[in-house]
Amino acid sequence: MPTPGKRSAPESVRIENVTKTFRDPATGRENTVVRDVSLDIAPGELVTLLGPSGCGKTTTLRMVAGFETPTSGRVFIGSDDVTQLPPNKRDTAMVFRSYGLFPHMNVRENVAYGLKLRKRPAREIDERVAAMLAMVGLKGYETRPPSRLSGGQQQRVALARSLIVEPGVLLLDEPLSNLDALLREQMRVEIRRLQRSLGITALYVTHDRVEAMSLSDRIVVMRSGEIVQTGSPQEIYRNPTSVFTAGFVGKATFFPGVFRSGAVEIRGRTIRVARFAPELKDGDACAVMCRPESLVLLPPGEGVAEGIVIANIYLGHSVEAVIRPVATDGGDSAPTEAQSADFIVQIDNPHQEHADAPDGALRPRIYPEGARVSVGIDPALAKALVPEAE
Amino acid sequence: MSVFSVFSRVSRKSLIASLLALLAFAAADLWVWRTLEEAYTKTRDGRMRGIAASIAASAPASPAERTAWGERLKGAERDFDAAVTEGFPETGKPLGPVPVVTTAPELVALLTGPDPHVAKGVESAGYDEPFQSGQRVTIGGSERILVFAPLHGAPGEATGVALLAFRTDASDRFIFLLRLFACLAAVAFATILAIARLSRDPVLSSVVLTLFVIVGVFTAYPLFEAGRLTLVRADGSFTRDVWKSVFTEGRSLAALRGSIQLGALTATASTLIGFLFAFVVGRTTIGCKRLLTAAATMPVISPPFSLTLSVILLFGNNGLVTQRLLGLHDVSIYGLTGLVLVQTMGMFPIAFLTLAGILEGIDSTLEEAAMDLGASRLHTFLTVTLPLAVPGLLSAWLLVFTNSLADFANPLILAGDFRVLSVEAYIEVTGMNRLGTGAALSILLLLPTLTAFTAQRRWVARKSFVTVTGKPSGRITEIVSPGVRRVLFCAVWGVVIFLAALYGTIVAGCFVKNWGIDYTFSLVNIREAFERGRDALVDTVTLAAVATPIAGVLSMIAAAILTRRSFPFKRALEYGLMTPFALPGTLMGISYILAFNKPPVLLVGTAAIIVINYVIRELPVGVEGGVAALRQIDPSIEEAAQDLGADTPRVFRDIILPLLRPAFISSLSYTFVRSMTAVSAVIFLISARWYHVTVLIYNFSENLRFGLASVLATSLIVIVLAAMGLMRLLVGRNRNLDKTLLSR
Ligand SMILES: Nc1ncnc2c1ncn2[C@@H]1O[C@H](COP(=O)(O)OP(=O)(O)OP(=O)(O)O)[C@@H](O)[C@H]1O
Ligand SMILES: [Mg+2]
Repeated sequence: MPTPGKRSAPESVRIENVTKTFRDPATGRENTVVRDVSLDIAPGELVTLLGPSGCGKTTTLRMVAGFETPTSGRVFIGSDDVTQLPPNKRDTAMVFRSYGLFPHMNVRENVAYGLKLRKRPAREIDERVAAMLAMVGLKGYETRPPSRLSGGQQQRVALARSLIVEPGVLLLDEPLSNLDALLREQMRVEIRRLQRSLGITALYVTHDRVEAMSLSDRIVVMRSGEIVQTGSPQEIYRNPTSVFTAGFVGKATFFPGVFRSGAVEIRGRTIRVARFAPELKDGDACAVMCRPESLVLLPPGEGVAEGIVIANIYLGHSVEAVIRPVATDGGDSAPTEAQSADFIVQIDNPHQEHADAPDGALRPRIYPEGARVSVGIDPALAKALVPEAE
Repeated sequence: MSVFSVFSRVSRKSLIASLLALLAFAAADLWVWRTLEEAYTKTRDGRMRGIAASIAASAPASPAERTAWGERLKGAERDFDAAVTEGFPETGKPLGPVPVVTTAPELVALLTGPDPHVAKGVESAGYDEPFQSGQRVTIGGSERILVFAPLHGAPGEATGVALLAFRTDASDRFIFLLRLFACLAAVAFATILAIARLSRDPVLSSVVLTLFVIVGVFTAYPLFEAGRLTLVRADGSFTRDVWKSVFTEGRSLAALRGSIQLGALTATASTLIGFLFAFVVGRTTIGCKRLLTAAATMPVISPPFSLTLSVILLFGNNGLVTQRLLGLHDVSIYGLTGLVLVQTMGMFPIAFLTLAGILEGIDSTLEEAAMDLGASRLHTFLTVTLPLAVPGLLSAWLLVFTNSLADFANPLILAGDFRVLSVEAYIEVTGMNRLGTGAALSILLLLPTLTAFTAQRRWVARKSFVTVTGKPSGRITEIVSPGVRRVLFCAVWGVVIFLAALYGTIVAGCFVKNWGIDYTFSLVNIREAFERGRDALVDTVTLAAVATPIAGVLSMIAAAILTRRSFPFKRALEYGLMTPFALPGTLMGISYILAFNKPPVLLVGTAAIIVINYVIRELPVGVEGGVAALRQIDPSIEEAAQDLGADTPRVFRDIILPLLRPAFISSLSYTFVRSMTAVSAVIFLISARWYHVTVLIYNFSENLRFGLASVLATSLIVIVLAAMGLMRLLVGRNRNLDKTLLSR
């Protein structure tokens, strides 16, 4: 617990080779949910744990909070080994997915609870609660019980309740998952602003890639209890190290190809991709990852893959064309999982209907549904990856 | 997270610190024990020498007087034997002419025998010095310490020797206990230390440990003792005699048959009436549902004997109806018929509440659909309503069956020649002082009870078809024709009026001079009843008031731990806590007197044994209510509090208890009502100091002082109703409250 009176400095967090195994009490079977996870979080940093449902994000977070004890490995907050400390003795505050507001206390009492536990004088509590409620925009709601607040308001009470104790580490478990899309976007900005302005270290759990992208200093991608990649949002998006990460953090199309000394051969065409996984050796099969914005539609026969437009999704600032691949006559590879999936091509600025072709003619940028097209790759944005083993 | 799984990762430093603390405590413990033991032996030896000296001094000189004196010495109950001789005996030589006075011939043999310690003692006496032998000898089957004292003919001159052989069993037992306590203290300290130092959440660990101790000492141990007594003789050898006699004696088997027969009849009758009530409340638009429910609540909260009492007043040998109104003299209400009548009136509410929930839960759409498809009303009832209620009917039947088997109060007064197990067990214990047989009979009672109980829990309760839809329509389509409706109406009101008449009779009984003989108005009964029952009333309320908060808080703690924490042997603890729910009170009472009338836990005769019994018996219902409530509460609420810095007790006080308020108050009122109206277990546990009104009601009824009994029964009803009203005020209208109350 922070020393009373003194504003506690943001703490660093260090997770060292943590493994968590649950034992099913009925069958006695062991189930390893988090496997040898190590992570360092710098003071003031916001790190997001991103991964599909059930990959162990919440469990990892709860081990930092102290609700679960690691089966092996250690957790440090600052320089202290807190592995065996119960949650109430750790300088953390958690915002729960379901908020966990005290239903028998009103908004003010909820927010004041942590300060009361710290035995702060009543005057100080009143002042700080009022300031905190103003900060999260809940002035005037002091005496409402949580049951009479909207989802977004409840969320802000939960956030205020955690922030007011000025924790060394703020832990958030999908705090926005119960909100509607618009509110989610607002709160995302809000959380980021508060975290920045208070300079709090934060560990944020989500399975929403947009949320992770827009909030984080650093994203930790998890899969089946293991960390598969750590990096800034740009890095993760543009330079994923695996097909899994590439697919999970953003829309991606994968073209099967063969790796040849720094370039990739896709159906006879050689493309000099800007990046490739270092494990790839000459002659290896690879998957060329392309983001929607690095693909273009071309007249049939001109690109690396052929297909039929099955939908043009109008998004305002852009159009997403969904292309269902068709087998080409010169088909040299059996259809793989990645190949049979639809290609997603993003066409920016959709109101400009034609593009200049190299020969000076005008080419359509958008093709009508049902049209046969070819897909071209911008090699500067593509990356060759090791294909997923089935 | 496991509390005890942290041993492997305890740091070396804290382990060494713990070991050092343990060593320090052990040293202190050892020192205290040695000091106490030394002090004790010193006092004991001093006392023995003092007695020896005074015996030696009081021995008269003349031979004649000395013989008389010896006789007196022999007659008295003492913890020693003595031999007094004139002159000093020598090994192998016969004693001199003055007669030896002795209470045990072995002592004379010892004095003339070759024992060197004896020789030394005699020698010391010769030098006018008392002597205590370090060697123990066995006399009359027990170990003795020998003390020698000189006999004085003239001052300063020893003329003989007094040899005293003190029994050692009492002092040995004391020393053994002292050592036992020293060991226990060390073990307790080690346990506390281990919990405090080695576990992550010391409070949780201690609470879990405490619950295990409670279950072990107050549920498992008494039951074990009861079982043991049926198989082991007083000297510790194994015997099958008790069970053999139980199974060969006609009485016991007749009682088992009787219990089952009574249970089956009562269960059937109660289920029918209960279904009638539930059907009227749940599936028809007949009014006064509140009143019906209230009427059904009365028998549950009224003290035992009250319905029996009024039935006797109305239909007994001097009954108002039988004798006064009908002029009948040779009908007897005592026996199976009366019992079925009384039990049915007392227990149909159980069936009613079980069925009410189910019948209310049936969506009218189902019946509408059936009728829409062309089914007649009767056909709809038979093919839709009834089948949906079948699991409820079975469940109700089994619940009433177990209750009827466990019932003790009604048959105690009303059984006549009819035998049931609970009463037989009571008679064996209190009437014939055959505790083994009593225990065996009450264990025998457990068989059908447990079978029915398990069947109800495991099998029927889960088979319920009723799907709880989010929004009950609240709309009822009556499937009864107006004629049937009238019949149902009359039947229900018939029962209610009969019930009201029964309670009215008890109240009337308070104000009548001598029921059955002299029906003039009088207040003498009230005055006398309060005079004679005041202490018992105070005791009863005190005991219930003490047990209530303990059971309430304990049940909420247990519920919180069972739902929110995991620890080793959790299932065992859960079973241990819930078991008393299925135990007949007679068995509980008998096993408590068996277990707690001797060390190490000597409680018989105290208030504690009664309070503990209440708490243990009423705990399961509270725990169940708490568990059900906690299942509705998001665990992250508690986690949030803990995360903000609240430790386990704080989380319990700030979050769990307030959120469990309705369940908590239900549990409080349940315990209070049940404790105020207890009899089957408490009748074994009361003492001259701590009495229970229900037992007093029984005593008055036995002595045909029905007026006094009525007054006490009425006052109990009033107190209980007042307490219930207070609880209502505290929680507001609460359907759960009635449910919990009736769940037994
Ligand atoms: N107390 C527990 N006992 C047993 N298994 C558990 C326990 N808690 C979590 N698990 C298991 O651990 C795995 C990971 O759970 P966790 O809650 O960490 O996933 P998550 O990544 O947060 O998923 P989501 O995005 O759905 O919240 C799941 O398979 C879950 O079933
Ligand atoms: Mg989760």
